[in-house]
Amino acid sequence: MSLNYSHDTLKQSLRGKIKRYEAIALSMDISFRLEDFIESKGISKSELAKAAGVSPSYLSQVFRGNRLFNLTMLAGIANKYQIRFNMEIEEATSIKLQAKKLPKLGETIPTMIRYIPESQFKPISTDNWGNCDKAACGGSN
Amino acid sequence: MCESIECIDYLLHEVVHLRPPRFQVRLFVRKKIYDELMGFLERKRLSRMVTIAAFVYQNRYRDDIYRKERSDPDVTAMKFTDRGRNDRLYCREIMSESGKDVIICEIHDKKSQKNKNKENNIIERCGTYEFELFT
Repeated sequence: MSLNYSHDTLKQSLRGKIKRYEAIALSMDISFRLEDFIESKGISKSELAKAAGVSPSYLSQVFRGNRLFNLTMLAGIANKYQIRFNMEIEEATSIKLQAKKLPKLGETIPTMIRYIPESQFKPISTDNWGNCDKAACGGSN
Repeated sequence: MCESIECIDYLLHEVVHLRPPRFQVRLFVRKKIYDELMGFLERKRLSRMVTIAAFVYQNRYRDDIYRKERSDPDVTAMKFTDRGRNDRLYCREIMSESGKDVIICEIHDKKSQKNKNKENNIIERCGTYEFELFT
């Protein structure tokens, strides 16, 4: 089926250059944060380019995703505006996790139930229960 | 008539920095142009698509990358202007309580800088498509 064929071909092209695409996305993420920063501080892009040690047109290409940020540029920006870039390393939420195989009917479900101590439960007011819309509250009667 | 659509979030989900979006955005394509879009992206346009997707998934706009059309703000254009080409993917944005759905509706090879009748007709058409969205 052509629909699947195109999908597979595209997936292969994507996998072949995944590092390049990841770098673009990471650079764009940094550029979005820097755009927010310069907007909040009233800094122009040409001033930012100067701090980064590149020409305004080069920086413009970085913001357009045609070129990537490098650490020297970020160091220049950090030094000029006395800011610090924090890096956090965390596992990315993967869509693959959602595609977990469901247990068959009758099969024991692996322990997914988390024990919550009774002290964490909060009492709920029952004053307005009479006015509750039963359908919205999940009531059956 | 209600148009069928196909979610294409899976295409770029391997690029870690495009997910998870701060703002819930889903990317779709009109089923009728699915094959055409795959062919379009195969032609070395994936890196540009990654840049555009970064804007889309972060709910951002930029005139030379991804922008709202002046004549209909619900219609947006993804701009593929590299390699001497001036292609557009015209999209329809539908806002919901949970976020935004972006549906790629038309692929267009734009011949001029300004919008002419052809572009205006496409934008108008994109604004009138009806979609059946699911949550």
